[in-house]
Amino acid sequence: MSDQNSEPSEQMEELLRKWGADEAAEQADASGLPVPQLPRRGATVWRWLSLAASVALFAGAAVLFAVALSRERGDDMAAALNGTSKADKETLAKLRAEVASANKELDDTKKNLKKTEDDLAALRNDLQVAQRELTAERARSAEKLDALVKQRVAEAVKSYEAKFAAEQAEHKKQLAEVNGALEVARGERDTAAKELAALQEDGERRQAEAERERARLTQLITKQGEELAVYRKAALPTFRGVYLSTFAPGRSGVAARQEAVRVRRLLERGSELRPRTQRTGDVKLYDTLEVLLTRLDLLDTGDAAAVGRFRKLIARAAATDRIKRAFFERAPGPEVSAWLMEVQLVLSEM
Amino acid sequence: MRNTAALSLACLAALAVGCSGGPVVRDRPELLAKAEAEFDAAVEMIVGLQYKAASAKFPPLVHAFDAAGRPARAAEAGFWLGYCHEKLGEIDKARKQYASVARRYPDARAAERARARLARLE
Repeated sequence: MSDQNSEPSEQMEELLRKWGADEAAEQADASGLPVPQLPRRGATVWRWLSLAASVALFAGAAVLFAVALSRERGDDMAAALNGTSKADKETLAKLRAEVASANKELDDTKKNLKKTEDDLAALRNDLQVAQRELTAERARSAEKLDALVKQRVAEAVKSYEAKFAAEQAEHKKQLAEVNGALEVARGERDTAAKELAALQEDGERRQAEAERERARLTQLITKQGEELAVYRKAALPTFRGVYLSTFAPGRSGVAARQEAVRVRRLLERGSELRPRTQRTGDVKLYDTLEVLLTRLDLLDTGDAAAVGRFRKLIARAAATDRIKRAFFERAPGPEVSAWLMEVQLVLSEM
Repeated sequence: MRNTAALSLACLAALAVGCSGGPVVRDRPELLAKAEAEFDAAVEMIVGLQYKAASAKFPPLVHAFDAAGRPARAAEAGFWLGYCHEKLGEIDKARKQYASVARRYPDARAAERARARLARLE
């Protein structure tokens, strides 16, 4: 009895080692066999399911093996094992059902896998189709874009050509206008050149006439000057005599001239006229005449030597010539002219 | 040449003043003639508008003519000195010189001229 009990126990222990403590304990409880307490292992549900399926398969095989072995050993052993074989059969049936269920699940999984593979293949196919469509669409888009670019370029070229043609026409128009203006300017230039030539010719003619007139006037002036010189040469002494006898009666010579300077206030009048003079040459002439008149005013007319030296001073100063030049070159006003004339009468022909 | 003459005139004037009066110049007509020549040259410089050069010649001439007993000539030399100052723009010097001539030689014709010009400068 102990041998009969020990063999299934070892088999069960083997099963428990392989298929799990829970299932073995459950089986042991159901069969009433003494089961050694094994430590529990933690596992996931899926792992237990797969282990359960394996345990069921191996349990079935073990039961078949035990049944065959018991038939060989005789009726005693079969009778002894009668109570446990019934339980094993139930277990085996349950395991078979589970195996069938696991196989079914496996088939389902395979079907699912197959379906998934088919779906994947379909997806790949769809992807390839989509890629082909995309490629075709891309090609179509490129063609459209190319056509659009060509169209735009053609439009731009056409617009530019039109604009260029318009600008060229405008430039031609402006060029024509400029050419017209240039022609007008050339005409005016030619006209001006002709007028200038005519003016130049006229100017030369007038210049020649002026030259002839100047020569004639020069000749006339020279003649008149000569006549005037003769007249002055004859008239000036007479005029001086009248002047001196009028303003220095009873005197003669240098004394008469000195008296005329004082009576006619020639120094004071010269001092009044000088500030009105602007030209440097005239100022110098005034200063020179002032010195000579002052010298005459202060002269000791009874000193013949002093009178002689004064005459030399008058001659060296060339006062009368400078007065003549002032008359002819600058045509002074009546007041200045009168003063210069009186000074000339006093200082000349001394 | 002119500088030498001016120097000699200055010596002459100094000598004349130093000898308290004019007997020396008065007794030597050649010195007086030389002074007159210097005077004419100085006036000719004024005619030529050379006031600066002329102004240097008149001070010894004033002394020389004073020493020679020629106050009218001395007054005239003093007047021309003031005239040169006036033309050179040295108005204060001109006023002083004209005033000096009018004061020292009141009866001279040059003093009358000096007073007239002094009046114009006032």
